[in-house]
Amino acid sequence: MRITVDYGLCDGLGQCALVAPEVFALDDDEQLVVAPDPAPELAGKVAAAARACPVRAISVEGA
Amino acid sequence: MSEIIDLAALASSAELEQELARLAARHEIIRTRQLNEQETWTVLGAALTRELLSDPRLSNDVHTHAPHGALVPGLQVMLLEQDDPGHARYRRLVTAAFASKAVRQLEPRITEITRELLDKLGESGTADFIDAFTYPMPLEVICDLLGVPGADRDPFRKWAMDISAAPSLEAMQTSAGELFAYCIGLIGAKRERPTEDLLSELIAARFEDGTGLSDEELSSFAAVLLIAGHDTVTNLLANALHELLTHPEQLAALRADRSLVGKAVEEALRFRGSAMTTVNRVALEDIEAGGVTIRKGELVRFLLNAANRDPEVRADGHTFDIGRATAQHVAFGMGPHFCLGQRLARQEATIALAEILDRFPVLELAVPAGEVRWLASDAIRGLEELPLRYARQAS
Repeated sequence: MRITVDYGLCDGLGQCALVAPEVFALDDDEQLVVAPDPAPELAGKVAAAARACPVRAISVEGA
Repeated sequence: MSEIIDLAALASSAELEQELARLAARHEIIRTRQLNEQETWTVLGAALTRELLSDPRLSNDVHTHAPHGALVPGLQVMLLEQDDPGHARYRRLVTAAFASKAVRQLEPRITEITRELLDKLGESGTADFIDAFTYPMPLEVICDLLGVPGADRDPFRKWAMDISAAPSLEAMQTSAGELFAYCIGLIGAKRERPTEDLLSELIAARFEDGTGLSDEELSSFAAVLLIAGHDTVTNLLANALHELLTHPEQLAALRADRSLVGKAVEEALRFRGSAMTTVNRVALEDIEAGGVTIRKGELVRFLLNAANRDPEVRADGHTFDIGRATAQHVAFGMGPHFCLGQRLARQEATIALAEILDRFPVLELAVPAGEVRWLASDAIRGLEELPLRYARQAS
């Protein structure tokens, strides 16, 4: 699965990290950090995390 | 479960949150009656709240799927009553104005407005702090941000109270109509003569395809930012002061260590947040949740103040404690509709609380604690008045 974050849109709100903390986290500067190569069984959570983003900054391919 | 709860009637009690917790212990989701007599599912449990707030089977677009669930019939409220991807497309237009950097830049202006209002209170006296401070402060900030001329700001309190706290359906709809009409006029004026403010920026904003916002969309945008942008902070700040003044040991801890002010704001948000209930969602299909079946087409709303006292999250939820490691609340919602203005709200409340405590070493309720009156609203949690006795120096 390929996760792309549009950092021009990302507002550091952390809603994705609440849904899929295994994959998404905010660092101390509210910058979104994405774990590389998430396990395939997390695909559902990753899709839900993308939907939870208020500005739709996350896109997922090959899930 | 056949009981239908009248939230607005319960809300006039200070014990609302305890009563909700008693209900929540038996039902994660209950039926409540809304102002327009519609019945709606109302989610109380924290886990179910977190789950359903991001569930795509629940739509905010009630105008399309359940018009009887709209805030104001025929007037779609920008962002609140929209679904993705349209919602995100509109929200992107305003994210920069409410992002960390922009909000940090507002700090000197918020401090200035705060100090000017506190100056008017003089050395000592008794005043309703809602009227004297918690209402005008956030109103000035959001009007400055959007570009509402100072002379136009008088009717906003009535409009905001009628729309958010909604004493009656008629008052709510009349005030919403007046506010929308006002916004249409303001947008017309700014189209002719753009100024340095968010509303002028929105008028000039273009989507990827080169189109801009219509007057109706702009008016709805302005209205929702103006109302959601002050009334929530007014009541949050008043609630926060009320909790601190009725929990003297917490107030003393905050006075002794001013670095706790951010945590005090978070605990106030958790303990008795002002945006108590979300707008309606509508089920796009049958949903099994919390032991009930929500049928396609039925309305669902979330009682965030109940979720924030859920004993499953913490055993001591009814204790006001600013020392918590994390308040872990959903006072700003969650998911795609997570509050746009949460950074501004937090900053305003943090600055105001610190400035008020600095200014007045003497600050206390001017009425017995049991005599403050709570708004009989099913949407906004707040006080009718907050009469305080204050002094710059202990006598």
